[in-house]
Amino acid sequence: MLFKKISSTKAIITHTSVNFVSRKIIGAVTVLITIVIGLTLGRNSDLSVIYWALAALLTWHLLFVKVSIEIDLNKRLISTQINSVYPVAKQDIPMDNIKAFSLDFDPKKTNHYNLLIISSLKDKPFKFNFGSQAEMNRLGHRIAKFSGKPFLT
Amino acid sequence: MNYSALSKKSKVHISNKGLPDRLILATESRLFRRTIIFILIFPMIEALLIHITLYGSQQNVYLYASLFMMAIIIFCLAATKTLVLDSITATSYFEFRLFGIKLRRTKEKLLAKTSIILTPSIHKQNTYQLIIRKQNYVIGKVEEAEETLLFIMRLFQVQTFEQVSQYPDVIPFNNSGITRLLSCKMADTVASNHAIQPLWNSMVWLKILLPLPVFITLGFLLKQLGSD
Repeated sequence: MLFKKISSTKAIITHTSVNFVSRKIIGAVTVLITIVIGLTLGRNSDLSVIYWALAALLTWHLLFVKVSIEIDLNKRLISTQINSVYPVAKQDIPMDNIKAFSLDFDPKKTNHYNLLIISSLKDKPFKFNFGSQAEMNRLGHRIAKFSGKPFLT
Repeated sequence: MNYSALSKKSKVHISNKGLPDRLILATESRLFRRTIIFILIFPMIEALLIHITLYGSQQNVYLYASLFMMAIIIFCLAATKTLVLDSITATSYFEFRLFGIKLRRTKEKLLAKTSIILTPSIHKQNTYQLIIRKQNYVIGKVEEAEETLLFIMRLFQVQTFEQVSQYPDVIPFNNSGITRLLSCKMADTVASNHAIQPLWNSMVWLKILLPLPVFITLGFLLKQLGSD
């Protein structure tokens, strides 16, 4: 995940270009496979059509899914949007709710760290993002600095 | 407050041994040593079993291997590194012991400069811990943690801080804490009404499946075209 500052009050978090390109390549390969299988559907049973549709759905999302995370200091919102041609999910986190950012190690997976948003003592910390330690550390530091909140480690 | 009045969870960390003058606490290295023992004990038993069943010179390899592992296990069992708060010399230090014999004292620091922080544990909700010289002691409920902190405060002149009532700011701890902490917890339950909504809910999963009917009809169309 990359943190990009657009202006003094706006920033976005995007995927790295390697991540983006590799997803497109895998998507293109699966598109080819679904097209080839789609042409041979006539010889197969009805059930295989359902399987083919599920594979095509997966391909669709691989190719078109787009996650955009925007931090706006004017609106005081961190908004996450998932689009895959049509809007899938939208989430707004009010920044006044956020008290601090923190990093948490997930013991079940290797080198898997969660970037947490701590809103209050009572609530469970909210998992904002995940990745390797160095990546999450960098991202957490930059978000915390940009939004003026403390980063606890 | 007496030692016997402490809760069960804080007695896990605070032992009765040498208490009025010195408080002996385990450090992170104990977990490391126990992990090594746990890992090594299985190959050691295996090597011993093979040693018994084999004959001749092959026996020796497994004998030496098991002896080597046994030596490491015994060392790990015997060696302890503890954090000691000492009120006689008014210092806190890390002590390395082997078979109960004191060998080395490191990182000595005056008690007046040693700080204890009461913080919530990030890993588990509603769990509180004490941090003494970067060593974490997870205790449990806030009352239990505060009780333990008061117990240590009474015996040793240390600096005490807390990170609970004005989270995430660290402020000096004061004695009349419990009622204030509870009231601030009440305030938190009121405030938590506008908690953060999760990104992935059941509606989103349904929305992901939205193009599926189109693909199914397309699939049947292709099947019709193909079979003609």
